[in-house]
Amino acid sequence: MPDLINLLKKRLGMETEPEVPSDAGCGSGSCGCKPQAPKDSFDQVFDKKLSRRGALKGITAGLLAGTGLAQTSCSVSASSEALDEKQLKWDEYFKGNYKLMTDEEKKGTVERLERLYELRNKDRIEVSSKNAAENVLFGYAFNISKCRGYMDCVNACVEENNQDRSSQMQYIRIHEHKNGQINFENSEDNFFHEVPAEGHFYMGTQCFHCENPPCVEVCPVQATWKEDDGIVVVDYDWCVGCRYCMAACPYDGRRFNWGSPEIPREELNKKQHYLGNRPRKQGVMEKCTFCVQRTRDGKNPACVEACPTGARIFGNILDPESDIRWVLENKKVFRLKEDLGTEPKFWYFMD
Amino acid sequence: MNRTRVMIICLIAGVVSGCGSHEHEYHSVLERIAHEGRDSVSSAIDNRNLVEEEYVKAEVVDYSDVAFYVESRTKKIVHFECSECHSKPLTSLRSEAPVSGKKAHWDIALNHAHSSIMKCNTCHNMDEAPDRLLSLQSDTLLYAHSYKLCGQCHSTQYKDWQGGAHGKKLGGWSQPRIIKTCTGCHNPHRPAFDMRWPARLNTDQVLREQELEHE
Amino acid sequence: MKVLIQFVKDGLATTLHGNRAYHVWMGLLTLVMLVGGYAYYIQVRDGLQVTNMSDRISWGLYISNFTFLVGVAAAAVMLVLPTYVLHKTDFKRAVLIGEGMAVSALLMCLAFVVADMGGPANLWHMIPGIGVFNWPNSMLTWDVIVLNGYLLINITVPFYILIRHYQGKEAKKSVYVPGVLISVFWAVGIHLVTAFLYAGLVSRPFWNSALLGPRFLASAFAAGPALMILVLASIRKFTNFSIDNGALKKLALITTVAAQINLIMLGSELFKEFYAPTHHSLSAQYLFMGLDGKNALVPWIWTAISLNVLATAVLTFNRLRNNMKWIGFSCFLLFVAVWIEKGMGLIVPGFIPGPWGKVMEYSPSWIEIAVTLGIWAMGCFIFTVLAKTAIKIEMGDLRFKKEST
Repeated sequence: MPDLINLLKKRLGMETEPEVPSDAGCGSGSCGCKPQAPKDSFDQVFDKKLSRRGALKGITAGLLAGTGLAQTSCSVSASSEALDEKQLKWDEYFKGNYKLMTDEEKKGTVERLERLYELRNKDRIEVSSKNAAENVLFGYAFNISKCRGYMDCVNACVEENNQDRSSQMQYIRIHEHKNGQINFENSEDNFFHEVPAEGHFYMGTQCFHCENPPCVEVCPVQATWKEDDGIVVVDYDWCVGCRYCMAACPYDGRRFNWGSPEIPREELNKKQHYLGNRPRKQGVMEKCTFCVQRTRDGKNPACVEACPTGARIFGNILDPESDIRWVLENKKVFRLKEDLGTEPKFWYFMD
Repeated sequence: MNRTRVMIICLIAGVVSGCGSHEHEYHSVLERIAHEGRDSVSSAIDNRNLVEEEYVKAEVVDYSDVAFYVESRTKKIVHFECSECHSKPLTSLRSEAPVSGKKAHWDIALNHAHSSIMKCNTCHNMDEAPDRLLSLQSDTLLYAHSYKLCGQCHSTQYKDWQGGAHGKKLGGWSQPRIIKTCTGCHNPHRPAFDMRWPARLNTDQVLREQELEHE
Repeated sequence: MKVLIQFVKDGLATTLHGNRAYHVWMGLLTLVMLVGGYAYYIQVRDGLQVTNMSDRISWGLYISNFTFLVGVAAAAVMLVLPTYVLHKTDFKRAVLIGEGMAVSALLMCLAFVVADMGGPANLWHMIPGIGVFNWPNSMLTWDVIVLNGYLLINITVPFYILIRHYQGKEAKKSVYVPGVLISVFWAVGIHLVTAFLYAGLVSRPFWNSALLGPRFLASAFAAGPALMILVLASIRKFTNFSIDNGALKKLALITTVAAQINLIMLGSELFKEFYAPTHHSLSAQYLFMGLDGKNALVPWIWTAISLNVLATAVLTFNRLRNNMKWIGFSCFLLFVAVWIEKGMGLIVPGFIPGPWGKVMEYSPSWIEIAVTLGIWAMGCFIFTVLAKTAIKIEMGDLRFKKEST
């Protein structure tokens, strides 16, 4: 398996041999017999021909998910598109953690993702690998007096971020509190009446992009980390699905793909970022990314944009002239569960 | 003896290298802002590139000394310019009405403040300055700067709006700020928002969760 | 090398031959394993949505069993310590069985972890070098190290001893004693690290307590030896492998003391949660009394506590503890009680209520139950294989015969 060795060598920083051209399949005579890509990035179909005992022995012997590699077979498909797809899937499976990639490698992976989507769906998407800008640290403020429970933010978020429709995944929760206390035990997030209801007020929660994120600490493979502009992101292809981060988050910020996410074709947002709203797969974690595909281009996140009352404020907290800084300096702000020491970058205030 | 020393050094190195992987850590966000957020940030992204609507520089900067822009909606006012109809005094327009029919905005009901505080002529003077708004001191204002009018009574919201805690923006988060004026969201004649149904009902989700529980 | 090959061949031969009861037992286990394997296939194909876990309760039956079994594995050291360090000869026959139990329990733990993963094909991401291993920050990485290390020790030490005995030679103390000593401390380590997995999460106040680690150790040293006693008693019954009553009685003593300490710790927890309840006590309230009308776990935990108290009480009385029938009965009760209390009674309430107060209940789906039973069957299977081979060697029935070419 020359490509695997090449990839391993690349990972370990050694010199690599030139790769076998992608049209050298079983049918072409120059058999650079490449094993079939065992896992494609978009649907993990795990063909269980291998006995479970054997699989477990392999796994427990070295924690290698050898079952994927055990499914090797030469592709007899003559179509170069199919081989192209297999090569792309192979490269994607072995590409490594996004956090450790160089800019070139990042470009490479988003190009592969765009091409894979095109091959599968005969349609183009745009996946960006834009890095964080300098001197930018994103912060968010939520005006409790202004939120009226409209949930326009929730809808905008779901559409913008290509979330699974079948499980109704939502990053944002809107809680209806009764006047007199901010106690989430007694709040309701499934209200079914006109808003705002008399005697109640509303607060929205989502991932708070902590400066000291407990989820980042506990991930065994560093599939989630805090970017330089403060956004806590997930590399969906690196996540192993252990859900330790979900147990660690005090703010219900994270969502897991228990099944395979489904998005209707016509509702897909084609402007995507690798760390943001590109389509995820079964068995990986995802979360609010402060709409990284928008905010790194200077736009506001979809929730901020959609809120009709202007209850949501977003900006660069390192810029003394930004709205968010004005809010932090002039309004009486607080954060939730402040005593946990997570330093969330999401403040609440009232008029 | 030598071996133990090597082991201890390795242990310390291992622990330290684990600790050293964090960059300079602040104890709180505020601390980080205090250290890194003092100077103006020249952003590579110019917010003006993200805005298609028309905007003008805001004229008042009472509470915040940062320049910002406001959406200029004068062209969006349906019956602008007022002087097209209000070329005659109001009294004569009223007397013509039985003959020429009620035109334009007879249906505007003022649902703003108590009638002892506010009537039409609080903000408008159609006889002397038809295409302008009127301040409390009878100064005339351009419609594009109508926010100055609102700020006369709503000084708290005015302060918040200038700083960035109230209102909606055009474009994105970067500089310069281009924001909507008061009338961009509030109808000046009935500024309060009505009750409405939420855009999404999570009862489907509740049903699904109940399903899971009953399995 | 020749010895090794012959050892494996002979081991396999031992495994494949046995009396009728043995074959029925192994056949049943294989059947359960196959059912579990099929259920796992469905889970991998359709995703974890076939379980009843959800965003609110993201760890369920699999991790409950994992937590419990780490304790069982750690308890094997209770036999190791007296045998090799204190040289109590009456433990000698039992210790290899104990280490075999540790190996089976550990393999079950690893299987449960893999079964719980959303992306098992991505597990190679954890291998340092080709993947990223987030040590020392992530407690899961510490757990991976200590569990695999303990597995290694518990495979190599008995393996060395057995292969020496297989050749009719004595096992050299200088070789195995250091490994044994390490395993004693390591056993405490594996269970503390597993406890720290939970205790380190500020988001789950039910777990975020200093008592969690010690409580884990106490319940492990109660349930593990209890299982050992039951296993040794059945080995005595089904084979000619004689195990001294003295060893069993001493094990029972260890179990009793550990169970008593466990009850004291339970009392301490109940006091802390219910004397002046705060918002942090809601998980305990859900578990012991029900919350918002939801009380699915209440009968379970009270059953566990009653069994626990009953078993501990029975074991406390010397006369009863030294009676073989009573030991078996109370050990079984204790094992079940600790399984409930440390499995579903610990993991699930940690997630209830959710971070924003949502109370949602969890009970495992059929797929989860099938996979769990399959893994337990796998553990029993592995243990039977190891125990049978070890017993044969220890009884002198299995020896290396130099083949004449």
